[in-house]
Amino acid sequence: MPYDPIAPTQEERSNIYFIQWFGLAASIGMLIDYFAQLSDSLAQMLFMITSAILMITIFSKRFDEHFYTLRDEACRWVIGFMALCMIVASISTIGDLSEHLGFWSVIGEFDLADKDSFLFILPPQLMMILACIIFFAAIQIKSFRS
Amino acid sequence: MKNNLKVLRAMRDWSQAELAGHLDVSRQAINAIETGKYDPSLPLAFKIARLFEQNIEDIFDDEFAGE
Repeated sequence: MPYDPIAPTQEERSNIYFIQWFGLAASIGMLIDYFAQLSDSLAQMLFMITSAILMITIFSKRFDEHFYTLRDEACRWVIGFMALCMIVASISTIGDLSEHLGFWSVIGEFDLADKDSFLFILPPQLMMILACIIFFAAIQIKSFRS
Repeated sequence: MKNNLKVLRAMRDWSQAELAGHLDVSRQAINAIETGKYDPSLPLAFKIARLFEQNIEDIFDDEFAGE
Protein backbone atom coordinates (compact mmCIF):
# COMPACT_ATOMS: atom_id res chain seq x y z
CA MET A 1 0.00 0.00 0.00
CA PRO A 2 1.48 3.43 -0.94
CA TYR A 3 2.43 5.79 1.87
CA ASP A 4 -0.24 8.40 2.54
CA PRO A 5 1.25 11.42 4.38
CA ILE A 6 -2.17 12.70 5.43
CA ALA A 7 -3.65 9.34 6.39
CA PRO A 8 -5.86 9.74 9.48
CA THR A 9 -4.58 8.32 12.73
CA GLN A 10 -6.60 6.05 15.00
CA GLU A 11 -7.40 9.05 17.23
CA GLU A 12 -8.67 11.07 14.27
CA ARG A 13 -10.88 8.18 13.18
CA SER A 14 -12.25 7.85 16.70
CA ASN A 15 -13.00 11.56 17.01
CA ILE A 16 -15.85 11.39 14.51
CA TYR A 17 -17.80 9.19 16.96
CA PHE A 18 -17.52 11.87 19.65
CA ILE A 19 -18.38 14.66 17.22
CA GLN A 20 -21.75 12.96 16.58
CA TRP A 21 -22.71 13.67 20.21
CA PHE A 22 -22.15 17.39 19.56
CA GLY A 23 -24.33 17.08 16.47
CA LEU A 24 -27.12 15.49 18.51
CA ALA A 25 -26.83 18.13 21.24
CA ALA A 26 -26.84 20.97 18.69
CA SER A 27 -29.88 19.47 16.93
CA ILE A 28 -31.81 19.19 20.18
CA GLY A 29 -30.75 22.76 20.95
CA MET A 30 -32.20 23.84 17.60
CA LEU A 31 -35.49 22.13 18.45
CA ILE A 32 -35.65 23.85 21.84
CA ASP A 33 -34.85 27.18 20.22
CA TYR A 34 -37.50 26.58 17.54
CA PHE A 35 -40.27 26.31 20.12
CA ALA A 36 -38.88 28.64 22.80
CA GLN A 37 -37.52 31.30 20.39
CA LEU A 38 -34.58 31.92 22.69
CA SER A 39 -32.17 33.82 20.48
CA ASP A 40 -31.52 34.31 16.77
CA SER A 41 -27.76 34.31 17.33
CA LEU A 42 -27.95 31.02 19.22
CA ALA A 43 -30.09 29.49 16.49
CA GLN A 44 -27.62 30.59 13.80
CA MET A 45 -24.71 29.18 15.77
CA LEU A 46 -26.46 25.83 16.30
CA PHE A 47 -27.38 25.66 12.62
CA MET A 48 -23.75 26.28 11.63
CA ILE A 49 -22.44 23.65 14.05
CA THR A 50 -24.98 21.05 12.93
CA SER A 51 -24.49 21.70 9.24
CA ALA A 52 -20.69 21.55 9.58
CA ILE A 53 -20.88 18.22 11.40
CA LEU A 54 -23.32 16.87 8.81
CA MET A 55 -21.05 17.94 5.94
CA ILE A 56 -18.03 16.28 7.55
CA THR A 57 -20.02 13.15 8.35
CA ILE A 58 -21.49 12.77 4.89
CA PHE A 59 -18.66 13.86 2.59
CA SER A 60 -15.41 13.06 4.38
CA LYS A 61 -13.74 9.75 3.51
CA ARG A 62 -11.33 9.71 6.42
CA PHE A 63 -13.28 7.35 8.67
CA ASP A 64 -13.56 3.59 8.93
CA GLU A 65 -16.05 1.08 7.58
CA HIS A 66 -17.83 0.67 10.91
CA PHE A 67 -18.70 4.34 10.97
CA TYR A 68 -19.86 4.20 7.35
CA THR A 69 -22.25 1.40 8.35
CA LEU A 70 -23.67 3.55 11.15
CA ARG A 71 -23.96 6.54 8.82
CA ASP A 72 -25.77 4.50 6.16
CA GLU A 73 -28.23 3.24 8.78
CA ALA A 74 -28.83 6.82 9.97
CA CYS A 75 -29.53 7.90 6.38
CA ARG A 76 -32.10 5.09 6.13
CA TRP A 77 -33.83 6.38 9.27
CA VAL A 78 -34.01 9.92 7.87
CA ILE A 79 -35.40 8.71 4.54
CA GLY A 80 -37.93 6.61 6.46
CA PHE A 81 -38.96 9.71 8.43
CA MET A 82 -39.45 11.66 5.20
CA ALA A 83 -41.52 8.84 3.73
CA LEU A 84 -43.65 8.78 6.88
CA CYS A 85 -44.24 12.54 6.64
CA MET A 86 -45.26 12.13 3.00
CA ILE A 87 -47.66 9.30 3.88
CA VAL A 88 -49.28 11.45 6.59
CA ALA A 89 -49.50 14.38 4.17
CA SER A 90 -51.09 12.25 1.47
CA ILE A 91 -53.59 10.64 3.87
CA SER A 92 -54.58 14.08 5.14
CA THR A 93 -55.66 15.07 1.61
CA ILE A 94 -57.69 11.94 0.84
CA GLY A 95 -60.88 13.68 1.96
CA ASP A 96 -60.17 16.69 -0.26
CA LEU A 97 -59.31 14.45 -3.19
CA SER A 98 -62.54 12.47 -2.90
CA GLU A 99 -64.46 15.75 -2.71
CA HIS A 100 -62.74 16.95 -5.88
CA LEU A 101 -63.52 13.65 -7.60
CA GLY A 102 -67.16 13.98 -6.56
CA PHE A 103 -67.39 17.47 -8.08
CA TRP A 104 -65.59 16.26 -11.18
CA SER A 105 -68.03 13.39 -11.67
CA VAL A 106 -70.98 15.81 -11.44
CA ILE A 107 -69.66 19.04 -12.96
CA GLY A 108 -66.77 17.78 -15.06
CA GLU A 109 -64.20 20.16 -13.62
CA PHE A 110 -61.22 19.15 -11.57
CA ASP A 111 -59.52 22.01 -9.77
CA LEU A 112 -56.15 20.87 -8.47
CA ALA A 113 -55.24 24.40 -7.43
CA ASP A 114 -57.89 24.57 -4.75
CA LYS A 115 -56.46 26.80 -2.02
CA ASP A 116 -58.78 25.36 0.60
CA SER A 117 -57.21 21.92 0.44
CA PHE A 118 -55.72 20.88 3.73
CA LEU A 119 -52.29 19.35 3.40
CA PHE A 120 -50.72 18.34 6.67
CA ILE A 121 -47.04 19.10 6.23
CA LEU A 122 -44.71 20.14 9.03
CA PRO A 123 -43.01 23.52 8.64
CA PRO A 124 -39.79 23.04 6.60
CA GLN A 125 -37.53 24.30 9.37
CA LEU A 126 -39.07 21.91 11.90
CA MET A 127 -38.78 19.00 9.46
CA MET A 128 -35.13 19.86 8.91
CA ILE A 129 -34.44 19.94 12.65
CA LEU A 130 -36.29 16.66 13.26
CA ALA A 131 -34.38 15.02 10.41
CA CYS A 132 -31.09 16.13 12.01
CA ILE A 133 -32.13 14.77 15.41
CA ILE A 134 -33.17 11.46 13.86
CA PHE A 135 -29.88 11.22 11.96
CA PHE A 136 -27.65 11.78 14.99
CA ALA A 137 -29.85 9.75 17.33
CA ALA A 138 -29.84 6.84 14.87
CA ILE A 139 -26.04 6.77 14.86
CA GLN A 140 -25.95 6.60 18.67
CA ILE A 141 -28.74 4.02 18.93
CA LYS A 142 -27.20 1.86 16.22
CA SER A 143 -23.75 2.01 17.79
CA PHE A 144 -25.15 0.79 21.11
CA ARG A 145 -27.59 -1.78 19.78
CA SER A 146 -26.16 -3.27 16.58
CA MET B 1 -20.51 -13.53 14.23
CA LYS B 2 -18.39 -14.76 17.11
CA ASN B 3 -14.65 -14.19 17.05
CA ASN B 4 -11.59 -14.55 19.24
CA LEU B 5 -10.12 -11.17 18.40
CA LYS B 6 -10.07 -10.17 22.06
CA VAL B 7 -8.01 -13.25 22.96
CA LEU B 8 -5.57 -12.68 20.12
CA ARG B 9 -5.22 -9.05 21.10
CA ALA B 10 -4.61 -9.98 24.73
CA MET B 11 -1.93 -12.48 23.69
CA ARG B 12 -0.02 -9.62 22.10
CA ASP B 13 -0.79 -7.32 25.01
CA TRP B 14 -2.31 -4.72 22.74
CA SER B 15 -5.00 -2.25 23.69
CA GLN B 16 -7.99 -1.77 21.41
CA ALA B 17 -6.49 1.54 20.28
CA GLU B 18 -3.18 -0.12 19.40
CA LEU B 19 -4.90 -2.85 17.40
CA ALA B 20 -7.02 -0.20 15.69
CA GLY B 21 -3.82 1.64 14.75
CA HIS B 22 -2.41 -1.52 13.14
CA LEU B 23 -5.61 -2.07 11.16
CA ASP B 24 -6.25 1.57 10.17
CA VAL B 25 -9.66 1.65 11.84
CA SER B 26 -11.06 3.36 14.93
CA ARG B 27 -11.01 1.99 18.46
CA GLN B 28 -14.81 1.91 18.34
CA ALA B 29 -14.68 -0.40 15.32
CA ILE B 30 -12.45 -2.86 17.20
CA ASN B 31 -14.79 -2.74 20.19
CA ALA B 32 -17.81 -3.36 17.95
CA ILE B 33 -16.09 -6.33 16.28
CA GLU B 34 -14.97 -7.85 19.59
CA THR B 35 -18.43 -7.58 21.12
CA GLY B 36 -20.04 -9.06 18.01
CA LYS B 37 -21.98 -5.91 17.21
CA TYR B 38 -20.31 -5.49 13.87
CA ASP B 39 -19.07 -8.00 11.32
CA PRO B 40 -16.01 -6.68 9.47
CA SER B 41 -15.86 -6.52 5.70
CA LEU B 42 -13.90 -9.19 3.86
CA PRO B 43 -10.88 -6.88 3.24
CA LEU B 44 -10.73 -6.00 6.95
CA ALA B 45 -11.15 -9.65 7.94
CA PHE B 46 -8.20 -10.56 5.68
CA LYS B 47 -6.20 -7.72 7.20
CA ILE B 48 -6.92 -9.03 10.71
CA ALA B 49 -6.00 -12.56 9.66
CA ARG B 50 -2.71 -11.40 8.12
CA LEU B 51 -1.85 -9.33 11.18
CA PHE B 52 -2.30 -12.30 13.51
CA GLU B 53 -0.88 -14.76 10.94
CA GLN B 54 -3.94 -16.97 11.07
CA ASN B 55 -6.71 -18.10 8.75
CA ILE B 56 -9.93 -16.10 8.75
CA GLU B 57 -11.97 -19.11 9.88
CA ASP B 58 -9.62 -19.54 12.86
CA ILE B 59 -10.49 -16.04 14.05
CA PHE B 60 -14.13 -15.73 13.03
CA ASP B 61 -16.63 -18.44 13.88
CA ASP B 62 -19.53 -18.82 11.51
CA GLU B 63 -22.33 -19.93 13.85
CA PHE B 64 -24.25 -21.43 10.95
CA ALA B 65 -21.40 -23.63 9.73
CA GLY B 66 -22.35 -27.29 9.69
CA GLU B 67 -26.11 -26.71 9.59
